[in-house]
Amino acid sequence: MDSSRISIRPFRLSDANDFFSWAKDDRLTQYLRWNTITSREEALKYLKDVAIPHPWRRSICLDDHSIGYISIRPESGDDQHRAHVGYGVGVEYWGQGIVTMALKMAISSVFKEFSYLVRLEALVEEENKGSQRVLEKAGFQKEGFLRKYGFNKGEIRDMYIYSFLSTDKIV
Amino acid sequence: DDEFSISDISLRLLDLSEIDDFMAWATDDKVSRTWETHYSSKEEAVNYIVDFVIPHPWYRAICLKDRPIGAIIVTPNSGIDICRAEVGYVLGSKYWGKGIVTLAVKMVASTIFFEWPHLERLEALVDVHNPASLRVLEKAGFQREGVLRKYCLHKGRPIDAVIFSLLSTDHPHVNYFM
Repeated sequence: MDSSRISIRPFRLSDANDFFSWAKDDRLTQYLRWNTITSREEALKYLKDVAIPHPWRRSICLDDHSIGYISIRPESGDDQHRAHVGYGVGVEYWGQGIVTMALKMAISSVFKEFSYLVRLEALVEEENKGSQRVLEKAGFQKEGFLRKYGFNKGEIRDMYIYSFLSTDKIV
Repeated sequence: DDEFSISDISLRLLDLSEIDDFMAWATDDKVSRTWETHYSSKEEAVNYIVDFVIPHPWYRAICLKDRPIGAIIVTPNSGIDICRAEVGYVLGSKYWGKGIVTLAVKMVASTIFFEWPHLERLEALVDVHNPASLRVLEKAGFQREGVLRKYCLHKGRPIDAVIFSLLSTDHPHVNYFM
């Protein structure tokens, strides 16, 4: 994949059709905390109510068309030096290094925007090997295996925790 | 006064009238190196007890012969994360090295999964540079899972924290009372 075709930018309401085309896929949302989008109306509403007002959510774009997202959410209060990273991209774009590219762009951007940010972390389910590879290729460090850490889609799951610090080098 | 046995250690609610006992560990310099304190005056401590300790879902004084010498706290999560809770503890420095905190953690582990049936995971985060605290959790049967880099802030500076967990399905906390 030619990296000049990949970009990250805030979501727009005009992304609704593109957003719907990947957000309706269970294969993408199975590891995410949000539910599959089931209609264009829901897609538009989701963009308007959640994606656009979010403190830091970006569309991953291929030739300026939305094919996925990256979300960075700082913790509240005393822990705001720490932020949680989430991401997903349409199934037909898996395995091409696209999310890794977008993550690297997001990392350098977010540490500049939030100067108090020290640590980015991501939680990945044990069987989600693709997502683990994405983080490793983007330079995240695997720190540990957290047993029965979180509830998602009906089950309590084991997760790997990864981090990227403001002092780490973007590879 | 220095001699005690296991049966002299108990966990119970802290009363506001026990403010002086609380101040003993809250103003202990050795303790504040490892425990975040938000108060230094008696008035601040009273506010802390009224606003945080008393309404807390699970805050217990660690008592020696019914006298508070420290505290152990289990903080639950909300919503879909109620399967997980965090345990933290603090003890006046003159009582360190006698196995009191390990005992208190084991006492918590033996009841908390019954008190909170939705709980599956009890976790703890300890400064990587606090070997005594790391040993408490190992002796209490927790499993060490990894080091989370710059995870917490202590006095404004990020510290590396070791994460431990005890599951409702782990030994050795299970005590069959029936």
